[in-house]
Amino acid sequence: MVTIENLIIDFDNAVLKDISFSFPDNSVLLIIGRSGSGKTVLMKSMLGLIKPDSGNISIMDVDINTAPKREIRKVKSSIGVLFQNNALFDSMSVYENIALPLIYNRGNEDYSENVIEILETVHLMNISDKQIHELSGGMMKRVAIARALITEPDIIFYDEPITGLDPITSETIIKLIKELSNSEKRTTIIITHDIKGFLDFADFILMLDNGNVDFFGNKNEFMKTNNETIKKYLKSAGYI
Amino acid sequence: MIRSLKYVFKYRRIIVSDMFEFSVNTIFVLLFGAFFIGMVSSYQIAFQMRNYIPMVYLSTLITQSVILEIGPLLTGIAFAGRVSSSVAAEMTSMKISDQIDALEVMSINPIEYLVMPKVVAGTLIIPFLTIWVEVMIIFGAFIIAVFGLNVSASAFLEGTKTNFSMFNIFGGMIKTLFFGFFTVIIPCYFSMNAGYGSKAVGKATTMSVVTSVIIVIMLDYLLTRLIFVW
Repeated sequence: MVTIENLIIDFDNAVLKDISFSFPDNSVLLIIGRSGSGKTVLMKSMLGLIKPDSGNISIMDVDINTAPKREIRKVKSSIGVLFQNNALFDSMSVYENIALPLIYNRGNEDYSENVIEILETVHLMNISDKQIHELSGGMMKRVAIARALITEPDIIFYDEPITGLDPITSETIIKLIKELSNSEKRTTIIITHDIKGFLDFADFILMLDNGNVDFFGNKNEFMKTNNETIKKYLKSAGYI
Repeated sequence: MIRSLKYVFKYRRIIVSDMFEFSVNTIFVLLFGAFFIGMVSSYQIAFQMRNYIPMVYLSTLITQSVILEIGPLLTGIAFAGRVSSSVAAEMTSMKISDQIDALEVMSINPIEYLVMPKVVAGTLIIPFLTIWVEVMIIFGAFIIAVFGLNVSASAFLEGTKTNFSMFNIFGGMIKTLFFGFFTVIIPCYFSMNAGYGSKAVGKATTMSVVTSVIIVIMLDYLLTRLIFVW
């Protein structure tokens, strides 16, 4: 269960204003909202990267800000993240990028088989030795997804996974995320401003507006709501 | 930072690679500058000495001032300019592009993985650079003394041995260890605490260089007092 209670984050002016919601494990949550609505700040606070001014964030029944360090570390080690701009290390090869969490946490062994296997999962072959700057935008995105998956996380965050990609590559990435969320029992949190494609496999939707929860509910409730903004989202994505 | 020092051996490859990068980044600027400073020093000191002090002591004065002061300080300031700026730019860019957050999410401590190796590398490499700088300054001075001031090569070399003490060399080297430590940890601090956006890189870089240069100059005074004047 992921539970957020009365979360407030204030950088001079409030970015998140009293956010509360919860959803069960192994489901897909779509966090939507305009640019600047607080989506990425919410994600970073859920990852423990930004400390909240008040409120609680509980992931797998562990409060990630107040629990003992060992428990927090255990929860964090079961989280994978695809950052908006991939956050790949330019000075490293594809292999080094993907194997980095294993090398650091498990020791400096040869993880070639794990890397090749995970690259096959994201439909990339024979690129282990390539440098990051040699890859296309879509390939970089898939390498970043592979790195997020290499530790076999129970929860995975995708921050704006299709931003900056062409429509064909975007479609491939959406398909891949759908495939990954269907193939294994894993909590998936997708942060996006474009619901097209993602809504097909989302279980819950959270809509933020200027730091407030404008909507939270399951897909059926989302499709039937009278909220004007949501109707605009559905219309622009071709759902109505 | 101090706690992460216990992982020095684990990160030895990164440390060696950072040492190599820091030396490649600075060595040519340093040696080029050092050679010309040596030539200028030779002329200036000879000009001040004329009619009062025999020219055989030219190299003594140059060698002593280089070992005690000019070598360590020049290396410290050049290191602050070249290495501080590149560390600040690199690490702030990493912060802006979420690479530091990515490390934390992967349970990799950024202080241990990024900051500690750079600080250790900077601290360890700077004494070696200082030795090269000192040799180059003395070589520049030698060229001018022999070919411009008619000091014989043997007199110049003999003069460098007068008042020579290993304590002075080690004292200068100890100063550079502190210069190296601060000129790398300062940009790391400004980068880790930088804001987001394109201006953050410029701001962190400028703050790092300015602060590092000031700290090097202040430390030079304090360490000279502590090591040589007590």
